[in-house]
Amino acid sequence: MLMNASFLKRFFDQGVPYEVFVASGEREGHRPQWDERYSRLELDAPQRALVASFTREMNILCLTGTWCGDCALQGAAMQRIAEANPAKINLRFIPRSEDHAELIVKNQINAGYRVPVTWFMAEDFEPISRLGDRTLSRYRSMARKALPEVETAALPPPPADPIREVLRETLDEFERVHLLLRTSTRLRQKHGD
Amino acid sequence: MNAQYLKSKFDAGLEYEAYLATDTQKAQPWRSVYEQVSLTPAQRRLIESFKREMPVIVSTGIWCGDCAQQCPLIQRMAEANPTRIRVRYLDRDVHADLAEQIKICGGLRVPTVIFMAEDFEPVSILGDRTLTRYRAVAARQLGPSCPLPGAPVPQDELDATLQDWLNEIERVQLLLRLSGRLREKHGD
Repeated sequence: MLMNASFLKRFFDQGVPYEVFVASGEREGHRPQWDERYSRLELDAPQRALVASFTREMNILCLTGTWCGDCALQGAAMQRIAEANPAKINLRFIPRSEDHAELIVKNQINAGYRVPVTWFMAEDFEPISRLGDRTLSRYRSMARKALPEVETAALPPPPADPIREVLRETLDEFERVHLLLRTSTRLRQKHGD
Repeated sequence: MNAQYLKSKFDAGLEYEAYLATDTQKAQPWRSVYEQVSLTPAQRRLIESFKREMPVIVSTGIWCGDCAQQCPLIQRMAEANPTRIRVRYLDRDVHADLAEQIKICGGLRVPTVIFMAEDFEPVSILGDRTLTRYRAVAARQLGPSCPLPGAPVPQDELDATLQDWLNEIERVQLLLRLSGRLREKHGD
């Protein structure tokens, strides 16, 4: 589930930056959903300040598809976060294609080839966490639509802005990973801080 | 790490009380935290509404402070719906084969929690601390004050950490409840 550093680095090196990935879906007409999400996910001032304060480098690889709506939402959110501290956050995207079968097959979720799946890694590609496929707020939203009311009565009310809620959830994981790296004894010894 | 392997590890794990019985002295902080936390009525209602079985493996160490401060929270939630949330505790050093496969930041960190579907297909992994715990730990380690080891955990920190873990448990439960594969199997 978390893989090892050399395995993850091999696939990270095959990944591409956001703009290249989004452009790869233009011919099939997939680009507008990514652009629309991106336009609504600008970080607010406290979020920008938080990300700008990150001092550890982190590598992030997102297995995704240009056709996938949840990928556009999470992918655009991650790109917005990465842009707030490009010196520390290295974000790459890799398509769910046969070329990357080894990565895909080893990372099934609930026996399915789901996307997006995102790996957060330390500066030396040691794995930290794996996130996927949807965030909690997205699952709550789906449940409200797909399940009988009796099953969803215990869910909290929907967020005011479901799109920005995914940004908040995604940023929480970035912050958690950063704090794990910042307080890591191994990395504190290495950096003398 | 496939379903067959995870099932074998789950079967080899211990239930909460059996795990604490492996070292009654070191289990004391676990018991203190357990007594310190409870679910709110809303949290209890949510967990009681769960329909899908979700086995959970916790790679842990009875000596570990982070485990003592987080595993009792997971246990409280499991007890609110024991037929759906089944947790097994595996000592990190006894089950080194598992621990080696779930290293975080190059270390054998605990607790690390693996959430699975009813047939042990892997769904999610989370460790070693939630965001609330990390914020608190970072404030202690990187901030101006440094409390004594074993100092009591503030109640609001414990409550927020419980909510962090519940969020992931709820997310996994909804993933399973909405899974086409499992809806077809259960006809729901």
